[in-house]
Amino acid sequence: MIDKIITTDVLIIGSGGAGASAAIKASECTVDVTIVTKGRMGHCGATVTGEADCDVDGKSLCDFGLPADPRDNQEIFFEDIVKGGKFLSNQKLIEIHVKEAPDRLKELIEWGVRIERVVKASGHTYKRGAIIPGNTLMPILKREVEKRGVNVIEDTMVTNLLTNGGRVVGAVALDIQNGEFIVFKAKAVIMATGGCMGIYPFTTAPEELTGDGYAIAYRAGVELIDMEFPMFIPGAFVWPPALKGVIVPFLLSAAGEVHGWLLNKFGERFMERWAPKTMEHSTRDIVSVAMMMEILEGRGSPHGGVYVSLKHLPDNLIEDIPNWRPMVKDWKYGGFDLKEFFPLDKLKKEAMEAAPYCHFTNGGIKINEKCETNLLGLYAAGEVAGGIHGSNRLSGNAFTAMLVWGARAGKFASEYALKTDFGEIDINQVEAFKNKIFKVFERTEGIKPIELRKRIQKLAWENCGVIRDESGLKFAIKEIERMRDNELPRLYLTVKTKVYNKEWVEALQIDNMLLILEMIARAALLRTESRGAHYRKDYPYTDYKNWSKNIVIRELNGKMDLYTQPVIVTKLKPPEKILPYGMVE
Amino acid sequence: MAEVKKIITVKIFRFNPKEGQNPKYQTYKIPLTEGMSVLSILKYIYENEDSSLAFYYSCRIGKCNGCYLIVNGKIVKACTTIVHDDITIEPLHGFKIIRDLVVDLKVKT
Ligand SMILES: Cc1cc2nc3c(=O)[nH]c(=O)nc-3n(C[C@H](O)[C@H](O)[C@H](O)COP(=O)(O)OP(=O)(O)OC[C@H]3O[C@@H](n4cnc5c(N)ncnc54)[C@H](O)[C@@H]3O)c2cc1C
Repeated sequence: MIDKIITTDVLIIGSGGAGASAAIKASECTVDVTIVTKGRMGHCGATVTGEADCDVDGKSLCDFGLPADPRDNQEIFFEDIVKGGKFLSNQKLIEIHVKEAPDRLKELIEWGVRIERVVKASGHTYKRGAIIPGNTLMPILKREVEKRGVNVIEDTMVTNLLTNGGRVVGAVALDIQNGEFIVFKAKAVIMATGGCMGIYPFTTAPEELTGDGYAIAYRAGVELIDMEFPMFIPGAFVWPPALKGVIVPFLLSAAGEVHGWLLNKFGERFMERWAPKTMEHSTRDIVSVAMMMEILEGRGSPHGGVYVSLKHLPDNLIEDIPNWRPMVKDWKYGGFDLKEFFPLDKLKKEAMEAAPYCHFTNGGIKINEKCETNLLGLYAAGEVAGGIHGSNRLSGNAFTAMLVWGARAGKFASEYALKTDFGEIDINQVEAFKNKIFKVFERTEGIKPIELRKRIQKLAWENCGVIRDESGLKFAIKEIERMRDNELPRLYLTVKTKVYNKEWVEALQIDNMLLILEMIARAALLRTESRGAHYRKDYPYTDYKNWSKNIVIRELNGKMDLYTQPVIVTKLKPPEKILPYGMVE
Repeated sequence: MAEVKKIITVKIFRFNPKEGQNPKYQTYKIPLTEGMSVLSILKYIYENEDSSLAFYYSCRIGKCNGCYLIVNGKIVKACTTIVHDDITIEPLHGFKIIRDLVVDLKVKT
């Protein structure tokens, strides 16, 4: 019945920056460590795609000899995170976060990471973003993981956690390469599966990030927090097809760099209506909402976005950009040759087209300072963990989070594993999970995974995306329930092979996507205000007075249950006011 | 919206050694719109023509280096290679083939 059993002290699910950091730290204890990943290590997850700034306070950066501002310190960094997250961050976590960020950066430098620049992004009082491209970071982390003899199992998708007597005892997975059913026996499990951006049709992130970790944890009775805050970025190209998902280089640039103007189809620079002072350089949440409003109200561009124009700049300045702008050196960007689509001469005359794309998941599995969840033996770190970013993450702070909390999860999980025995595997549970994985092969007709995936994504985009309101969210919840009851049970595969069957993987992901969309919709409906990445058209103000609290989601008696809890405050109290959306304080 | 420029012929290597199927080339007729990459074509086939096609990719934006393939005899990334005409797509040479365009990079042949 079981094709393979793998026994390991610490099982890490996910091979991105958080999983790798956890593995490296866990190996410092005398425990054996296994990473299991849905893709291929170094070639999957969001970490490799980061451009990427990694935040550390300016003073510490100066101590490392990097070009930053010594007036900055950990207190100010702390304040920026709390304010950027609009006072929903767990401040106990943030104190640790700012304190341990320099330790992690120091380690990276020792492992050979080179930092050439430090940037100041919006929302930061000072320059803090040490530039560490994800595709140079990941090979170094992978090398350090391999050096420590960590077992890495690739092309393998975890579908459920195994529990017994209120603790985690392992996990089950599908080996995508050959269709084998694998049981992992583990003393401790670290969830490091990244975000759930893949539930949206427009995302800058790898499409395999369908939030499996949130769903897997939820089904094992684990609590999640701040799920109403998937974050959108303004913006990525909507045209041409090959560039879909690629961030437009002139929108998210750091302070002091060239910015495109955002225009609607009437040529209006619509940011004037939202943030007349900061305009296109406002924080990502506001720019995304502004762009989306133009698109939804029919003032967008032909391919479903808005216009990004450089025409306000003199021709010779445009020609010079590739010479000084590191991100678009030689007019190449992220591996694409922009000359194919946007030769510089064209940019002097024509605008590009961009839309907000889902970029990050602010919320996630609820953790404490030791990365523990409410399920004994289960830890979470990186993007899958919630509580750090509150309602909106600062640029560069996801890398910091993945390094700091990845390492902490590795430390505490391995310490726990050292003093724990393997738990008993419940064979009935294993059997039930296996049946669920293979069930789709039994049906010969019904709904194809791709069809249902597209329907879920459309619903996510139109009703649970950048702009929300009560009727849209209520409609979404009804639709989700209908899909869950009538369509999910009718999923079938047109492809019968067990060897690298993409349709099969897609069917397993859909189950998770639908569950997470329900979390987002229910939490977004409950939060009757607008804050950070959550914008309610029907409640366009931030209600610091009544809504400075977190929404927690869990399964209770087979149903999705939501409750609110007070924000954990150590230093910085939320204001007592009700303010128009977008105002900081 | 995206206008179809022309219909191109896409020839793809298919092979399922584990389940005893012999290697062969399969051709697809694909409506090409401007600015489609090799990856856009593969995804188009998977979503609209033939879901049994196996290929690996992750980031779609030239960063993860996961989608290297042989296109018209040259090693390229599927996501950043723009298609203008008929193409032939094969898996990377020298590695064990898992299925179709997916190879096991840990096993050299
Ligand atoms: C285009 C882009 C640019 C970015 N730029 C920046 C930046 O400049 N600065 C910054 O701070 N942040 C940036 N971010 C965010 C940052 O990259 C991520 O938040 C961070 O890398 C997440 O790391 P992680 O290890 O938690 O998850 P990931 O790196 O996403 O890794 C998740 C891993 O889990 C695996 N997995 C998922 N589901 C399963 C399953 N069911 N079974 C087994 N394995 C599974 C995946 O295959 C993957 O290996 C960017 C994100 C994107 C998309």
